[in-house]
Amino acid sequence: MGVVYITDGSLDGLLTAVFTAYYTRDAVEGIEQGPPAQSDFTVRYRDIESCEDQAIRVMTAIETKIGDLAMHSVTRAWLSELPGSGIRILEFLRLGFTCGPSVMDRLTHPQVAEVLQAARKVSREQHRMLGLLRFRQLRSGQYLALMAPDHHQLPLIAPHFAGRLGASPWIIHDERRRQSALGEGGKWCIVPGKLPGEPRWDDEEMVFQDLWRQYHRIIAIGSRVNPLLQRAMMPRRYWKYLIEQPDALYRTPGALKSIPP
Amino acid sequence: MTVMEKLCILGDAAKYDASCSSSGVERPGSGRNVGSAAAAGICHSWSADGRCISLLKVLLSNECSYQCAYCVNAADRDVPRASFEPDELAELTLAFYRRNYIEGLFLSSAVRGTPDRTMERMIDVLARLRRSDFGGYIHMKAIPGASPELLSRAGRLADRMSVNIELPSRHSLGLLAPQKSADAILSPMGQLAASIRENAEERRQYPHAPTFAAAGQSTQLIVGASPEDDRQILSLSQELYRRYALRRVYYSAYIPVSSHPALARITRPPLLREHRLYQADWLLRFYGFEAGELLDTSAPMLDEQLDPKCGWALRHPEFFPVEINRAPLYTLLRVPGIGGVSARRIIAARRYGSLTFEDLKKLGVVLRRAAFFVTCGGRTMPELRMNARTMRQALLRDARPDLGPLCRQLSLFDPVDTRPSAGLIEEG
Ligand code: SF4
Repeated sequence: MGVVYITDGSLDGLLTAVFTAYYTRDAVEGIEQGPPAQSDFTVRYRDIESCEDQAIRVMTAIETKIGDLAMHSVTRAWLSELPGSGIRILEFLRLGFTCGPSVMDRLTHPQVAEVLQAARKVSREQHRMLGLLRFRQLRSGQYLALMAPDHHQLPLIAPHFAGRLGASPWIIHDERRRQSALGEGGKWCIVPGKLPGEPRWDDEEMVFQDLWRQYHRIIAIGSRVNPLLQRAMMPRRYWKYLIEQPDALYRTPGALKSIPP
Repeated sequence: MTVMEKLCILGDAAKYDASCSSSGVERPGSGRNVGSAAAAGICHSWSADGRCISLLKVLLSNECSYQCAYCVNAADRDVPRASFEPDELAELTLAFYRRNYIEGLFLSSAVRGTPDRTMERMIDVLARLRRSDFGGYIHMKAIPGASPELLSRAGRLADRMSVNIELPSRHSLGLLAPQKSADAILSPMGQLAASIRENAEERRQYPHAPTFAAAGQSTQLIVGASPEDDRQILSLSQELYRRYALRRVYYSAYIPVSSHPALARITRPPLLREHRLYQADWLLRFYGFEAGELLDTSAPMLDEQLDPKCGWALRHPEFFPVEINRAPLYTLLRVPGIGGVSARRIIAARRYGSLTFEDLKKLGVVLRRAAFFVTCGGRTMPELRMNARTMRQALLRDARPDLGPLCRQLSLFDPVDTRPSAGLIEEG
């Protein structure tokens, strides 16, 4: 009977599952990031308890036998949280352990193509989030940003903001996954859970938000207004968290016309 | 005057500047000060015209004492005037940067008083930012005519410097920007090129040596205000890339602002022409094309209906078809529908077996276009009839979605004529 592995969703969980698949004779049919919504009677479920030691062994094996680039892609494909990504990663790795680093060039092979494609999706959103995330200053002096990305981005973007915000303490909260990254002085960590209570903003916060909204409006060239292009570059689902509220321009009568040519 | 009022005037005055990229410099944040700059460039938002916002792009002042005919801020024009104080602008930049609105500052200025006086105030802003440990990106426009000493101070503070070439010929410059001489533009470009080269050399030996405009220099020119054709413009760009190792030449469609007798009389900015010039420029920089290959005296303007690569391919039937499983990179790059990434993927993937048309799709090749120009294992794509007329029609049909919203937007006012004009077709 086929077996479906249930992990805790972490990268360690995935790598432990890969380890288990190699050292048991399970006919693995799926590697899931949490309990299934509906259980399927035709398969057996097996809970995988994340084990750092096993995870590191698998990671080292991937890096030495298939290469850093493969590990990079596997991490992102897993963070994509796309259905079926776990089992595809396992198949990709099986292929990789037989043929070595060249697996990355076998772009026409279905498993390779799918894993790399999922990884690319995540990288694309990651790059997007680096730009679209907006911090607001709290009365306590911390900077807080909210987001709800399609893929699990916190572990990928936290290092960038740790470098960027420097000494100021900061929080990035993923509302969809109910997790936050907390950072200060270049260090960061991820903690589960909702934010405690309503945020209280710094007095100057509104001043800078107004300035930014205004700047965003006037920097457009009136004779070139092109909402389709704007949406193609910056999909609507990300607008909710933007300070500049791009849609205000389309909802307020006359606002569009008021942009100078 | 409030900061808000100044921002409105000075942001609006800077908005026609084409350049927005914050790319080309890697400076990881140290975790102590504010900031890092990523080599890929990060877009933070897109304005209603669909342009990326990466940097806070403002003029330090628009109180200009010059009279450039094509410029809204020329001294004799009746527009609201303002100037930032250097500390105001530095504080605003830091606040925007910390909130992740922007990647850094793009600072330009009208000539307020003298070029030297103007540059000094600009340098003051940069120095304040760097003193507060701002590690974000700074692009500064040098003022033609400012002293070499100020230029080198600016270069030590900025990531990128630019000197605008403004117009594509000495003649037009003399006519339309009488206070800016070609030499006052070219000599700082030369100075910057030399300093950037020396600095790169120095940092190869001493990686921690202070940088000088590590992201290089760029320039910008206005398209459509003066009579130069695309061939002259592209040859100039090619020359600038070679001589001054510029990172980018930006093209800015002229937006009619005045009725100066020497200015081209147009009513709308030539956006499609600007777009084609960018595509052609891209071919110069990344695809190994020469300006002379793309255009010559018999056809000095880019075809507005076709992207320049398709145009070139249609004029060079002898170059095709290209065999996917054998052609070198250089050749693959010349095929319409194959870009830099897909060309490299083809080369990687074909080592593990001969590629088919199905495979090409997976590798990101735009088959709708490429199919006319390639073979896989000696065969053309099934059901493809090679005939110049159908080919051009298919490419034209394809050229519109490729242009996307830009073209749709244009067509609201100005329907793009997609009928193949017989004279341009070469049978092959
Ligand atoms: S120097 Fe010329 S282009 Fe620059 S602001 Fe003054 S008038 Fe305009």
